Amino acid sequence: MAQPTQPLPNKESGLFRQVVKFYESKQYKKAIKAADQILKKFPEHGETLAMKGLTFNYMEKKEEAYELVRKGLRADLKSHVCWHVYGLLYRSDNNYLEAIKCYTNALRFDKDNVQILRDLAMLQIQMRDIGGFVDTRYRLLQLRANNRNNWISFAIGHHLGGNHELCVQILSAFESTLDEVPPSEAYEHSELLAYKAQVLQEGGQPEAALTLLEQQQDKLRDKLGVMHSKAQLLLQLGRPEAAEALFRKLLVLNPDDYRVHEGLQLCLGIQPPKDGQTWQQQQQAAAAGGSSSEAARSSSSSSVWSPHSGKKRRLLQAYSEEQRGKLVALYGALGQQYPKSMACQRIPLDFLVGSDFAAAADSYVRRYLLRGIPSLFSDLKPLYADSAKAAALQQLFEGYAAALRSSGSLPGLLQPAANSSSNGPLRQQQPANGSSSSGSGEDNPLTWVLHYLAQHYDRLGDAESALRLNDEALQLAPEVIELLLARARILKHTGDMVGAAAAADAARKADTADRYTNSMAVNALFAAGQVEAAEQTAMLFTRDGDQLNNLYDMQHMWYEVRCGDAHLAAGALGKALKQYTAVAKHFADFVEDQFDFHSYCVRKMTLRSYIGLLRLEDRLQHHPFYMRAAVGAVRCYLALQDAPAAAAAATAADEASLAALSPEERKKEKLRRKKEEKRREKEAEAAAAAAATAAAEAAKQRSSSGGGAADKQKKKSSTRPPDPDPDGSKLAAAADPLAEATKYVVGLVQAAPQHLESQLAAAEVYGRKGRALLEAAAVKRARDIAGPEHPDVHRAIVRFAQRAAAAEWKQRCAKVFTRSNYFGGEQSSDTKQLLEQLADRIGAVKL
Amino acid sequence: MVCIRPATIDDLLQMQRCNLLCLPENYQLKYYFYHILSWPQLLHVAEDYNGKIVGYVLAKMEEEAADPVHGHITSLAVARTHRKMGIAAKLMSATHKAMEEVFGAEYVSLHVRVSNKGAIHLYTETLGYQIQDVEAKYYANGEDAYEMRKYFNAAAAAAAKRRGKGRAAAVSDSGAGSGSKAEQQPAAAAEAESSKAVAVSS
Repeated sequence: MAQPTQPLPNKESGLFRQVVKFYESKQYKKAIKAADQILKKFPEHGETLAMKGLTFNYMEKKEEAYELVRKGLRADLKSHVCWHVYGLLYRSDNNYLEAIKCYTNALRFDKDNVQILRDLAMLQIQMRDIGGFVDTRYRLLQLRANNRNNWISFAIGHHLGGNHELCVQILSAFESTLDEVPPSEAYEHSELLAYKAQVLQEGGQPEAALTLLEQQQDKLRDKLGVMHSKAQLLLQLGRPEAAEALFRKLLVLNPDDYRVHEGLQLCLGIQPPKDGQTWQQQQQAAAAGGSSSEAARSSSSSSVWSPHSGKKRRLLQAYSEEQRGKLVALYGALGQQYPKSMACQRIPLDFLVGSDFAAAADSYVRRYLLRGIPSLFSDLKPLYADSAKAAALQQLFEGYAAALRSSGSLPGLLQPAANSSSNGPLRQQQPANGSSSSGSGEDNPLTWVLHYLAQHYDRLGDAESALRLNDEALQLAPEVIELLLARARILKHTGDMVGAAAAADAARKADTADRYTNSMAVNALFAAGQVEAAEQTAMLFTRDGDQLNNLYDMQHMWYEVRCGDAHLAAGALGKALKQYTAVAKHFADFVEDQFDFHSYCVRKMTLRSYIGLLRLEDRLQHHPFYMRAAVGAVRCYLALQDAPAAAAAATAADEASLAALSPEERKKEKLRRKKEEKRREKEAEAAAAAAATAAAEAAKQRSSSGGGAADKQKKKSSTRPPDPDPDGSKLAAAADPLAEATKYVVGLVQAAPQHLESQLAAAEVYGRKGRALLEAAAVKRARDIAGPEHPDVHRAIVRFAQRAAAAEWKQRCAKVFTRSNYFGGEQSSDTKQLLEQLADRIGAVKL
Repeated sequence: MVCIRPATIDDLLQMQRCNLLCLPENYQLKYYFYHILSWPQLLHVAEDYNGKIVGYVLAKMEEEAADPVHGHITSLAVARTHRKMGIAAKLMSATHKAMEEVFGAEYVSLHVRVSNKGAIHLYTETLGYQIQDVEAKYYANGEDAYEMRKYFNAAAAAAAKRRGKGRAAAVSDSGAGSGSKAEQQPAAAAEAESSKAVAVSS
């Protein structure tokens, strides 16, 4: 232990210990009082100054805090306490890089200080300094080898560093120190074993992973997860029979898990479809170095730059006859075994074709129609990738409609082809055919047949038929909300946003207690540009009517993105920026959120999930919400850059309206505004005070365990000042909008270079900055991602060409591209090619 | 097609989105993190064909030593577009099973608005819950909640009966109702303390 460089006499030394104690028990006033007692006698005592500063930090006196801590440090540069305190101060402001520097300095003067080492390790893992984390954890393990967490954290460090073998060795060494695991720790031990198996698998040792899971069977509590892992491992090891047995067991537990079905199909040698991956899967594939261009291409279809350019769809798979035969046999049996499983009944529609498909679809959909299950169309929508199936479904449902209209009952079941092996087993028990034709409304199958057909024609782009059928259904059942929601969607697809909003709002009014309908109405109102109505509608479901704070507090990101888009479309750039930056802030908070879990998960031993958390955090900026908000913010800043006058105009208009008033009226108006502001401040204060009282009460109640949490909460609610920029006008008044846009673009290009939106945004920003090379690179990448025929890419190319055609640019470009080694040999010829193409295009678009 | 499966950490943002679409009781993402990083086996989702989460169950274990081991449903939602398919029941059954098998829970509890007829029907008729108690003004708008319980086996139910049910009212779930905030950072509590502490040599 390091000796203090400024030793205090006994009395003061005792006081200093009290300062620390008071600080740690949050008795800040007492801590300050004790510190002042020391400082009276020893005004230059560094550690006391630092502690006083740190205490001020928690009394909302930030400036004084930094001042005092720095003063303390100057007085005692060789004190590890001063450096540690300085680090804690930076840490509390989330300035982790500076905090790491401080901790490192502190350790120079007290290298074995466990507390500081632990704090340092936490920051290192948060900042993903894996090398540093491993080193720090190694020292901690050396110092405290009897502590379980030190072993586990050291192992995790090696896992993250890609040193799987060492990680497993450390875990094994730790296990060998364990005696009998008490029942109270059985879960933790089970999670530890499962984690070890995961590390083995990721380290390329599936055999060892499997052995571990088999040998420790009785200690593993997560039976379902383990069974799934084992099945995957068996597949990986080329033992499909054993894997199949496990997948079948898993089906017994949950026959609606498509991952199990895919596994089962893999056992039969049938690859699952690759399309329709979720964004995480794409990112994971991209991160794993998979065919990134392919992943990027499929993701580009859900372009953010032009928001309504379509969604990713799971494409139907082409099966060989042999595969189809196997599937028919498999699902013939499964369909009978699991009559209540949605998946077992639905999957055959994916692989059956022709009359077999028609017959299977016929028997499948009746259950939905007779029970009035609204999701039937969404359930079958993926089948529309195959136009033959779409046609078959049309025929089927038109047949239903005709029969129901004329006779009031559904026609008899279709028969599959006579020679088909699917005859029999695939047919399920039929529900009774004759639901009453007399009933109208929700119970009438005709309502649901018409509802299906309306969505069917909408999917095929025949809005007229869609609307006609939707009308007919609404006449039968005007009270069914799903019909109104479908109407809103159809109208939206025709481009009638106002009509869509009206239909969605009618749906909302039909069930005001249902937030889902409310959400749909809000969404449609935003799309129709009825921003105020949308905001008012959303407010119906937020607590206390305090809409803005509540939506923000609850990280209501789809709302914020839509709201931002609507404001942007209306040219309200400040308000749009307000929403987009809120989303960006949420994502910053999500990164922050992981902090507490670094040690929590090691204690809880939920290591598989913890590793998942770290990996998720590392690709968070790929998330569609973040992309949309970041790109939206870029567009706002670009608009501000292009027309700063427009932003100024708003202020000017305001001033003009004031100027138009008579002097007295002007005074009145100004007074009124001032009053308004004061009132708002007062209200905010009162609210904050009330929240503080409530939180304090809550803290009292849970003082036993969660005191810290409650206190943190209290701090959060009580100190929130009124929003200084409620309309985002300060954001819109950014001195250098292009610089603000660049910040987002740099982040986007770095985090998600394979996303079309990132590159398009970069091209726009760099183009305006006159950075020809960077713009060219972005345009080129955009072209690589989505192809030159993509409309947004085309636009970017044309804009680049326009700028390149300007005289000054010509010179600049020439300079750049004659320096042939700028891009590197191969790429530069590619760039030349791009320029040649550009020249062609300039001719084609007749600038 | 709808896939019912255990949730992964990658599902949480979408679960939050689904929650905000469907329910008035909402939570910050950290609260979802807290659930999956504490009891990873208890969260389940219903996933649409295009990867969209259309339903979820968010659940936890109550770890107060005073009560017998039991689980608690924090939040359950199924998008209106996907109702009547039995998704909620399937999600709940999967979570019940994990509570019993992985964590050895004796029973599971939940809160429901007294006006929510549909949900009450599902819990009592389909899933075998029983009303345990009424908590007055549990929800932000002043509505009462039923506290419901389902025992996983008859022996535990009988034992509970013998113990009497006086203690039930003490259960306070700040997660599902108005008080959700107070519990937002349970993970933070202990750790924030330790890493705030100053390394003092003396």
